[in-house]
Formats: sequence, C-alpha cells, structure tokens
Amino acid sequence: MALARPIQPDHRAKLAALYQRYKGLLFHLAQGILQNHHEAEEVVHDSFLAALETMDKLDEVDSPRTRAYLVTIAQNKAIDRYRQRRPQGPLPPDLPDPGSLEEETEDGLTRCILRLPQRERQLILLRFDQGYSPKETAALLGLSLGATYKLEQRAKKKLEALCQKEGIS
Amino acid sequence: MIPEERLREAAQEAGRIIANRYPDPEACQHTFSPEFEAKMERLLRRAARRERLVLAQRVARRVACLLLVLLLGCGTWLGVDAQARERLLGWVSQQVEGSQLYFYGGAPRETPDPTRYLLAQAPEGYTPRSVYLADFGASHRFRNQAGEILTFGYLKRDSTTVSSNISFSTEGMARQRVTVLDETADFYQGEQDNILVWTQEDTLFYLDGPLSQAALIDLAEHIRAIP
Repeated sequence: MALARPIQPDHRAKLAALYQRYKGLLFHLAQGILQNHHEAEEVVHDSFLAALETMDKLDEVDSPRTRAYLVTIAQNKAIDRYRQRRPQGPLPPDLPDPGSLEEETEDGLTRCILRLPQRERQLILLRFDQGYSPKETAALLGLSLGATYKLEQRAKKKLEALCQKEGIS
Repeated sequence: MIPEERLREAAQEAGRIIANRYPDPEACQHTFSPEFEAKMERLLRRAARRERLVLAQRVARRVACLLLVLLLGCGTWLGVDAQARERLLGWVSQQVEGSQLYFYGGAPRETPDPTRYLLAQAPEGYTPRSVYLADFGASHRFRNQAGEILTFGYLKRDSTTVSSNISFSTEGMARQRVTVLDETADFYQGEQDNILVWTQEDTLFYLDGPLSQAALIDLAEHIRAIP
C-alpha cells in the first residue's frame, strides 16, 4: 500500500495509550464471538499489531473514528478465527444484535442499514459514516480493492431492495 | 439510487446507534493472562525500536552536519570530492524495513523559509479534502467521487524539527528513476497507487495517489510557490 507520512517518534506512547484504553473492549467483542478466552486474547494482540502497522492513519486515541477502526479490525479477526474453526457452520452471532437497534430510530433508511448483513453494513459504515476511502476500507476488511468495490455495489443494491420492500422512497 | 448525501446521513445515524450499544471501554475489565501481557510488552518494545531507529537517523544527520561544518571550516575534503558533497548537502534516501526514508543530510537553514507550495490546480475529478500545515512542510489531500485519495506534500530542510524526514511504505513497489523539471526524481509503482518524490532546491516534494506516472509528473511540474 502506498502511504506517505512523516514518522512521528511517539508510536510507542500512542500504542500504549490505545492498548490501555481499548484492550478490554476488544476482548469483550472477541470473546462474544469466539467464546474462548485464549483465542480472544490472540485477537486483541493481532488487532494492536495491525494498529501498529497503520499508526499514522489513526486519529486521536479517544476519537470515535479510532474506536471504530479498532473495533472493525477486532471483529473481523475474531470472525476469521471463528470461520477457521467452523468453516461449514453458521456465522457467529452479530454483536450488537441489529434487530434491537432498529427501534432506536424512526428513519427508514437508517433502519435498512441496520438490517443489512454484517459485512455489507460494515462497509457502508466505514465508507459513509467514518469516511474511509475505498483503499482504506479494503485494508480494514482484508479485501482487495476490486472486491471492496463489488461489495459496495452489492451493499447498495441490498439497501435499495430493503428500502423498496419497506416502501421507503 | 440513494443519493450519497442521504446515505451519509443515515450511515452516521446507524454508526452512532451501534457505537452507543458497545460497552464503555472503561467498563470492560478483564485480567489478561501473563502470556498475553508478555506478548503485548514485546509489541510495545517493537514500537520503541522503530522510534529508536528514527531517532538514530536524526542523530546521524546531526553528526553529519557537524562533520560538514568542521570540514568546511578546514576547507579541504569536500572541495575535492564533489559527489560526496551532493550526498551530504542534499536529501538522502535510505531503505528502512520495507519503507523508503528521505531526510535532509546537509546543514540546517539559519532562518525559516516561509514559502508555501500548492498544486497549480486540483487534479481532474478531485476536490480538496484536508490540509495539514506546519512550519517544516505541508500535506494536501484531494478526493474524487470514488473516494480515492491523492496526497500532495512537501518537506523543507530544517534539522531542528521532529519531522525533518518522511517515510513511504514501498514494500512490493517497483522503483524507477524519472525526471521532473530536468532533475532526477523517484517514482514508485504500486498496484493501485503510485508515488513520485522529487526535490526542488532544498525542498522535498511528493505526490501519492492512483494516477499514472505521466499524470503525476505533469502535476509535479506545475507547482505554485507562495512566498
């Protein structure tokens, strides 16, 4: 990936701050998917390793964008591990349960976004809520750029279909 | 088709709802295993090693500057070896762990240079997205409708600041020598993005984005200086 940033000699301090702030949350999310303490800890470590490699892209430690970045990485790594154990089985339970979230908004389009499958919803939020570029989104989701563009098209089509079904213009 | 602005509003609302459902990070307590803590300590040491490498580069540059001052004062060696003088007085490029590092290897500037630089015009299809300005340089980001980012930046020679070096992640990228305004420049070809790095007088410039070599060179050759 091509990336140009001046090196800031504060990676250790920033990584340590991220670790202290988010280790518990990432463990909680990974544990919810994997139901295994050891594997959940592995996911937490791998998530911070990924953060170290892309430290220059991260905003401030407490920013919602940084939290969303780490949560996305941790969830995807946990799901990948889950699928390695159960390649034929059902997908892990979605956290948080989107069905209960729809009640928190009256906006039809927002409800449809919450109803999207996990992968498609993740892409829509990364691209249109967090403002990541297709290239950054591809890196976050572990996809090629081409696959990311296709996933975005698929997500938008599913969203339009949901909106049509709900009678939302 | 859902208008992008509408999609953005709804996505932000959805993102807010989901984020509110996650527990507060402070409330998520877990006693991690000793093995995990040891692994994290190793990871933090690795981050510290990267910092030390950068600091070592800065120390090396300062030693080189001191040596230069001494030799100029003696008025001997640099007057004989012109090629060595270019390496010391110009920007130095060095490969470091899958990245290409550029730093200024010459004498520091005595007074700050207030000149700013801009692209003569935004690349076709791109609009300005963000700007980062500092005394030692700047970084301008542009974005197109597909969400692709193009970055134009520059770094001035000033060995007294933290950021008097710049690094590009170039793993897997092919490097070529090209020319910009009759000066040698570095071009890195990636799978999606390319990078062009060139110098003009004592400022280092770069362009990073999904444009061809010819398009990047054209942009590079049309920079505006604002005193």
